[in-house]
Amino acid sequence: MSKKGKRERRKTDTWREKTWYDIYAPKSFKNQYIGKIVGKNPDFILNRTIETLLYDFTGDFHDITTVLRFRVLKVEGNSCETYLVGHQLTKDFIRSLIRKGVSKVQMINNYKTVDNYIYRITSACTTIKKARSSQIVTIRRIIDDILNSFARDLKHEKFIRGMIYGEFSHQMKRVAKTIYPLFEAVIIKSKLISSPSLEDQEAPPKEEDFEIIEPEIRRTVKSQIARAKRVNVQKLTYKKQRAEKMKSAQKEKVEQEVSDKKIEENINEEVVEVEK
Amino acid sequence: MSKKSKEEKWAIAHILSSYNNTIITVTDLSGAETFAKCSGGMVVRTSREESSPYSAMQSGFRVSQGLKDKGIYGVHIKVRGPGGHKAQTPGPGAQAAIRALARSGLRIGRIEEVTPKSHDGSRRKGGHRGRRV
Repeated sequence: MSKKGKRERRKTDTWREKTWYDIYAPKSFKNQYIGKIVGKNPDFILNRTIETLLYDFTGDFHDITTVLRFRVLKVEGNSCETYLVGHQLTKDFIRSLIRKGVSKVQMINNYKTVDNYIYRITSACTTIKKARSSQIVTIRRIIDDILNSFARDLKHEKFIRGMIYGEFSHQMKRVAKTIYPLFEAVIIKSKLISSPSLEDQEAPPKEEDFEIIEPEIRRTVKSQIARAKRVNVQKLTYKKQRAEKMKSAQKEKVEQEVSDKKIEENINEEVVEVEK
Repeated sequence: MSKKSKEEKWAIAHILSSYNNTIITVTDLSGAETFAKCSGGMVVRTSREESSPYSAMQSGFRVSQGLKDKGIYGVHIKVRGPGGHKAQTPGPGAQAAIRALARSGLRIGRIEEVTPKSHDGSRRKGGHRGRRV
């Protein structure tokens, strides 16, 4: 390169050409605002990924450890639609689960939902003390059974909700507890492998409870059979349903008290009339 | 971090600090567009001072000035050391760079450590008998 050529070249100010685009979460996260991104034109914005915490959407302190990852699908004016590409727990939270003398049961597998979305899910259980290899194998089989049965009859919107808000991991813990006492059961990571056309997305379903799944467990070891008899699975039911039962029981109590009072009042009135 | 307002513009500051240098690059939330960048060699003359906390501080201030011109409100920080089969912890410049960013009036969001850690990587260089000086 000669000196002349170098002098003629001028640095163009590309910053002025660029504009800001607002990014919004998909329908399953109520189209909430995520952040702003800079780009030259919409073609440069497409297929970019952006990360946020679940805590920003919910405001619940327990959700501060999950990171959601979205990809830009469509650009209209200055606002962009996105879809979920996966989620992950933060490194420090995963490290906090594992201690000395425990065993970690981890498995990675693909799961296909009813509407042909394929997710690759990394799930893990940590036990309280060191488990035997036969127990680890059965725990891993239980995890696989539960996730498979959920994927078989759920659409992706509900599948995502169960995956991220901890419904699946709760059920995993509930059943795997009967094999060996667990410290925690979590879904560490998920990744969208393939999906049908994302353009025409259905509206997300209304909030419904998840079914309680009882997978068939082949118990061959004596200690496992003994433990299954000792630990009552029916007692370890799902939190929400338990809370609802408590609420309904309380309601019944209040209603009963009210009806008792009414009866007493009626009796008193009758007594007064009789005395007259 | 309460609810985000749409007027505030956030960015991500990637800080790579090793025992030989500290490099700061600030991008938008997607990581595709760079707003500002600075390294130890741009601030200090001698090559052995590139990793010093002083140079990290200077480059932090220089970066934040560039950000203010572009109207950025706050930064999320991702710190990283060399990683792989090299040092796992960030070098001496990391803390100074973060402090410089905070001092200069930028809001700091979340701070994260993103050193790449190998599960079972390649062998560290130096041979069987180690480095002979």
